Amino acid sequence: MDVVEGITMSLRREGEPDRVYSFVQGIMRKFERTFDERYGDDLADEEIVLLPGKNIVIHKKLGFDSSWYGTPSPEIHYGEKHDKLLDEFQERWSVRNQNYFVNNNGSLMNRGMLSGYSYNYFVDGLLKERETWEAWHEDYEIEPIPPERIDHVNEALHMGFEHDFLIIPSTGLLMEPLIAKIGIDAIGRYAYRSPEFLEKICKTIMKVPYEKMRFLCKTDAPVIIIPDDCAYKGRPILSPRMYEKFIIPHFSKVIKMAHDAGKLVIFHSDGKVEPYYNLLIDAGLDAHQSIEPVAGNNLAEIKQTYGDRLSFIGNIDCSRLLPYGSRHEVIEAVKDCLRVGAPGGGYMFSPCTDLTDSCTLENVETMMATYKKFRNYPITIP
Amino acid sequence: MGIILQRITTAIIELEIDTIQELVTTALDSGIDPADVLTAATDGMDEVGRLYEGKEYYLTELILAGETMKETLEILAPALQDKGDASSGKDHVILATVKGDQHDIGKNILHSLLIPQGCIIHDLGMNVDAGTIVTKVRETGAKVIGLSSLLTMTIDQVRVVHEALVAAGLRDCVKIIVGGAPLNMELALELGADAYAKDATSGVQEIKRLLAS
Repeated sequence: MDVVEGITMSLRREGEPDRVYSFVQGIMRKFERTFDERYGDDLADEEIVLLPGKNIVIHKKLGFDSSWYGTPSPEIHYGEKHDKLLDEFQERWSVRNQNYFVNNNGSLMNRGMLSGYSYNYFVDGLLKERETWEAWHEDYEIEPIPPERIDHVNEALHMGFEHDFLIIPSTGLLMEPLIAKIGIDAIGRYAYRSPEFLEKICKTIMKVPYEKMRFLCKTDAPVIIIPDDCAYKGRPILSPRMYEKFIIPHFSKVIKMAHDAGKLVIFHSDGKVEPYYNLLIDAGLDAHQSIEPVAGNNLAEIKQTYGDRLSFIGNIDCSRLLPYGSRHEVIEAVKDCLRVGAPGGGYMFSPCTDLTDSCTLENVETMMATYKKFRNYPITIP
Repeated sequence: MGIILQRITTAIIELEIDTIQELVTTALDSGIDPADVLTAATDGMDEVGRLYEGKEYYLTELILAGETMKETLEILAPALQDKGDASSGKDHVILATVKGDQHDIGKNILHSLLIPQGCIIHDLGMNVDAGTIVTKVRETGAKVIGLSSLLTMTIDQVRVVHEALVAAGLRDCVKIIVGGAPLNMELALELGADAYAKDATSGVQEIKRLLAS
């Protein structure tokens, strides 16, 4: 079975494939550097796999089967009022803090450092007032993604196939851009005070994800991932009632677009998403990726409750286990994930977030060695 | 008199951010003691906390309730000061996001939920080094430090703060409570903290417990 067959079978919950397949979101730069220092000089030529737009050397060396892949964005045009407002915001906020700047989304950002690299932190969405939102988006237009970019994505996909590796193109959705543009406080305010205006905001934001999904449907990608963090520790950000009202209608539409084009859809969100699972299942979702243990996700419980209707990807902890756990703890955690997630299919093995800068290479290698040892069906784990 | 106070409690619970200031003004203009208005608003926030615990309210509601409380205090604070309800004798609490981390949503929600609890809050913001926190403890005599870390890479800063307080001879005078996505109770204790809160509402309860201990 090749990775495409194995992964699609897992996502469709069509029983047990030959083995459990694996996925990794991304790999942070310091971790990459550690890997390069350890293996960089010893890699054989055939191990250096560079796809257009994605370097999968580490992924392949560690033994992952799939990873997500950035999708080209449509060109966005703003009007004069936007440009004027942006200038005003830049001036106003840089006076308060010289590291502050405002981006085209209307997000206030703070230039900082993360693990020795420059990193821009999100501070707040500034388009909180109705007048500001409307002025910012007057004459807002997006252009279709040029069709020639389809070839670029397909080239990466097919090169991946040649190396038995699946890249999974992504398109964002709604929750993250909403927070980025207006902030959580304004989402709550409009949801309670002017729901019709919040719906209008959602509709404007969704122009980009709809275009990206239209584009991806024309590619050869068998699977599409929608990253849109909507939850944190213990619960989602919005109540299920609000999520159903404002987000799910759009979510259903993009899933339908993908399914109509014969593609499967994975949803990525950190945090505890479970209160939304019934809504997401009704919307047609195929799989949820992350299943962060520290957010309160119990893989055994969710597999038992929803496993016949939704596939799961993840559940290896990147907060404590991979950075600080002992070798024994890593081995036991991997065995637990496979023991409860794998039976019957509908599960892919994965760290619950990126391989972060604090994950140790030793622990990640132990994780992958244990996964490879026990991943074959029928699962037999002592 | 009771009706307007009840109305204020309800307005906080129902997140009526647009009308709360008018209600508070009406209450004060009609001669109601500002302390009673504060109690009514605090009762509302307590109920918001219960609704959150019961999973009827979520993060958006919690933030909106905090904003509504801030609007309330904008009108109420000067009236409380006029009545001589000064800050002397109140407990000081320091809040900060640790060095290297620039996330503050959780810390800010905790801040807004702590306001009605009657303590004096020193919010040092984000990316705060241990030295700044030690200086603030020395300056204010704070009994509790609330530290937030969203990033796995920065949770070791909790230990740095703990050790800096030990070195300054202040560790026995102050409790450290931590919160943030990568943390749990076990890890909190390992890093030298005294307590952990899984979210802002439990953070308020834990801080009240620490202040009372």
